[in-house]
Amino acid sequence: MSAELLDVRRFRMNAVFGILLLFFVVLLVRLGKIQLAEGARYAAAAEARHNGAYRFAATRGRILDRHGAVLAAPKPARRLGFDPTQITDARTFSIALSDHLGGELQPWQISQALRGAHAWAHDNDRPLPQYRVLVPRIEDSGLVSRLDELSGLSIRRKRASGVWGAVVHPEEGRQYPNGDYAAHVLGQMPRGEGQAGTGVEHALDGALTGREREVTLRRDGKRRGYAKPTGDAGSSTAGRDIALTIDITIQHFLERALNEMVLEFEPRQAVGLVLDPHSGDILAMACRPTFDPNHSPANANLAIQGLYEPGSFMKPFTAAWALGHGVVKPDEILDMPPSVMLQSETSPIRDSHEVGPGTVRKLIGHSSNTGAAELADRLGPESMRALFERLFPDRQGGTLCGLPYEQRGGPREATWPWWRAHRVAYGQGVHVTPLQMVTAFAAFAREDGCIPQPRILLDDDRPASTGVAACRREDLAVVRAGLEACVSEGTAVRVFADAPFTAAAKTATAEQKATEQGVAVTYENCSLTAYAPAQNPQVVVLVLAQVPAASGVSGGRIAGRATRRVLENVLAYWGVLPAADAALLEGEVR
Amino acid sequence: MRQMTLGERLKEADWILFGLGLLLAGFGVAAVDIAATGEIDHGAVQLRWLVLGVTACLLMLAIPYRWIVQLRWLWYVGGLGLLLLVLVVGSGKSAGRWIAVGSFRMQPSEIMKLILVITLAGYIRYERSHRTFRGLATPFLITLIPFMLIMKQPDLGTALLLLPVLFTLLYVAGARRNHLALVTLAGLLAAVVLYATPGLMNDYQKNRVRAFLMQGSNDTALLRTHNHHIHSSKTVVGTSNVFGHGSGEEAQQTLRNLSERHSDFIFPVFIHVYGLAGASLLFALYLLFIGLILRTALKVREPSGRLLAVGVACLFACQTVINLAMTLGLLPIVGMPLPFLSYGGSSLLTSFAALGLVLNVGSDHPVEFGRGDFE
Repeated sequence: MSAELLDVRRFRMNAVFGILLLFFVVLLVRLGKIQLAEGARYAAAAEARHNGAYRFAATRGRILDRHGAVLAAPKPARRLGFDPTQITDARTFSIALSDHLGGELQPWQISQALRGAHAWAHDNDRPLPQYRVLVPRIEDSGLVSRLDELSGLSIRRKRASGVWGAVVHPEEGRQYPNGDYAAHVLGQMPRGEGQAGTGVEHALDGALTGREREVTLRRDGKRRGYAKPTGDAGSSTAGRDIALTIDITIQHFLERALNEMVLEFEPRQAVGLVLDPHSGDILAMACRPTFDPNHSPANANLAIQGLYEPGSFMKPFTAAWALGHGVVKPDEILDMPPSVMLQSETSPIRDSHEVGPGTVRKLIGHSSNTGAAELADRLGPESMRALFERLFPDRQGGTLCGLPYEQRGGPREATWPWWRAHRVAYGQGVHVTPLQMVTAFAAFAREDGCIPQPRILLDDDRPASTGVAACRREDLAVVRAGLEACVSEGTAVRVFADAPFTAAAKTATAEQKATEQGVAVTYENCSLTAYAPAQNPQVVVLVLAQVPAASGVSGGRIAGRATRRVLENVLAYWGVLPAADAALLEGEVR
Repeated sequence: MRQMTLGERLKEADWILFGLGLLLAGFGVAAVDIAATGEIDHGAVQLRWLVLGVTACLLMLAIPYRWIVQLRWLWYVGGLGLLLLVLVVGSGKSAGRWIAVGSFRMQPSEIMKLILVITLAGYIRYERSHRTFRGLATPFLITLIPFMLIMKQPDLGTALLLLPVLFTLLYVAGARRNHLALVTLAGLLAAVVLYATPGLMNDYQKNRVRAFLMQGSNDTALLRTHNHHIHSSKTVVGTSNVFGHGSGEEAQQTLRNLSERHSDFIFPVFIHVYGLAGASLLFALYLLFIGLILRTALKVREPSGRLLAVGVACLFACQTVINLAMTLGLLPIVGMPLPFLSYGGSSLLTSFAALGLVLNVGSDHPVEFGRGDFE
């Protein structure tokens, strides 16, 4: 072998070592970079990956009526999941599980869920628990039993029947024993991801949910907990029971009355509210369309979310405001002609029926547009705006009763023109919610003339009165006389004919335009708000229905019967009616 | 020509090299014991394999290496037989790489690495055709057959290890540079074809390459699935400090997030326990160990012995560099144990057998005639 070739070989071996040396230098530099330059980032990532939080949910509290009757309660439910790492044959598993569930889930649905599960199973950052959820909550009692049976099978039997890998986890559902009664008040818990809850369930979710117990598990590379859990040592605390001001019996009266009204007039929307004027307690609240929270998704609570023109409902407030400001005397005779042309108007203001000259009592009882507009003309736009803002302040200071998604009508514009002041006097061109209406009207049923603070929670410790007077004490008798005249001789005379109790009321009809499938449609918002007994008011009821505009449609005709029925039932239920009359109604109340 | 006695071999052997191997294996047993998952006492098992490995090392030292080289085709055919057998009866968690006989499990691809070094060393020594382009065909064929069989298991890491061994042996044996350049180019083309042709590489292998190339990506799905090993390994390395966390509870807790920590990912365990200082020492030990093997190769004048030593050095060097590079995110994840440190009987046994072979080569006296021949 030549010396030259030997040199070449020596050189090549040295080159091999040189390359190796270079590699080790690169490795050392890389090692230093990871540890010294990026160490803090990796340390944070390690800590995050290492800990896994696991929550033990608390039993959700019940919702009760004012007498302790259960309106919503927890119900046993199950969550169905599967552990992809345990399933060897997806097809067999899908068929076996579907069979076990009595076909409630089809095999293709299960197979679909299994697709991609393998990648999920190897996702090392997946949250606890270890299984993948197939059905988040199963509340059907039959299915719950089947799942419990599945869960109780021995490992051998699970493997033999092909359902090995299925995971059944205890969950909590919700039941509403009274079906759709007070559904809008109770609302619903969120039914799925991305859905919001409604009603009391949503508003008081924090109190109802209670305190979850959260522990932290140290997890290994396969996401298995390996150390004793740390964190919350105590057990979970059950959610608090919540008592509402709702009386389920009165709610029943209202629901039934609305059902009858719906059967008779088929309104597009309807709202009913029953209020204790002294305490502000909402005794019943119902809407149409309604829903059964046990089965159906919630729809809008129109009592707090629907904005309606109040119509003639505004007249007693205009009259009380005018009396308070001395622009009209209780015994002053107002013209109340069939039509009147007031300043800055381009067309005359008309009454739908002839009223003729009379006092404020007649204006309220016979519901005169021209009379109310005349008073507004005397008061001026600024004063009328101040009245409206006083009665229906804009969204300030949170919601009126504490329910979520509440709307509130208000004066909107900072200044009102004359024509607006005229129209607001008889309730046109402004919008308020039924809850705002009934609350304001309750002021006439109170001795102080102040608007009560509406309450839905029994332990709501806010004062019963808002301190805002809708009517001066000295003018209260005049306004009440007008409302009683409405019942005895005015627009509600037919409604309360032969009633076994005295009442004071105000009917209202307001036009509302809507577009349905591109077609302009006109509806009439027909309402009747009343309190009874007239001399010693105990309860205020509002019934509002939105029906297609037609001749003869009026607040008294559409909402009258339902309002009277609720008043009668409530007074009988409370024993306020004379004994004979109460006895007549006893069977119905039961 | 007189054969050296066993006593002479033992006297002439490079005991520093042996000591370094033993020291590395000792570190390995300690690290494996810390990394043990709890179900099996991996440390104790590794210790038993260490004893067997030392025995194998001494056995390889006792037999004259020329005999071993002369019987190269027997080893080669036997090795291929085992690789074929593993395709039929192979078992394993992710790939069928092991042959189980009772409680004993053997990984034929580990043994085949050493057999290939012996076969190639013998072939290049005796055929002397490697300086022609046509002459390169047979060494390539010798390498390609086990390469394909190991790929079939599939064991991409071990298979890819065979190519640099062949390349280094040819380079050191004096193959022409332009030939080797052409072969390198062909190898790179083959790698591209291997990756691009459907069915030649498994999806998980491609995903590992993809995950490696996208280490800096914000694709969380990829990070959480295929990139998990790289990420976990770098996390363990990044969270250690200069002098390490020791083997206490804290170290154990951090290591629990690392999969395969007792085998392919033993280096992150080592650095977590012994720190950057320990890792630097480990690098130095490996460098010294391989350097001593190359020094042995330089001292030996007999070509097959020299090629054997270079082949073994290349095996250790490639395994070490690839394993360390993959745990530090410089290479895609492949199944590649760290010599002497990673848990695994076949790997440790083969490593010590290779070490024994190098000691054998190094202890073989350069004088071919004994004193008696002149008396």
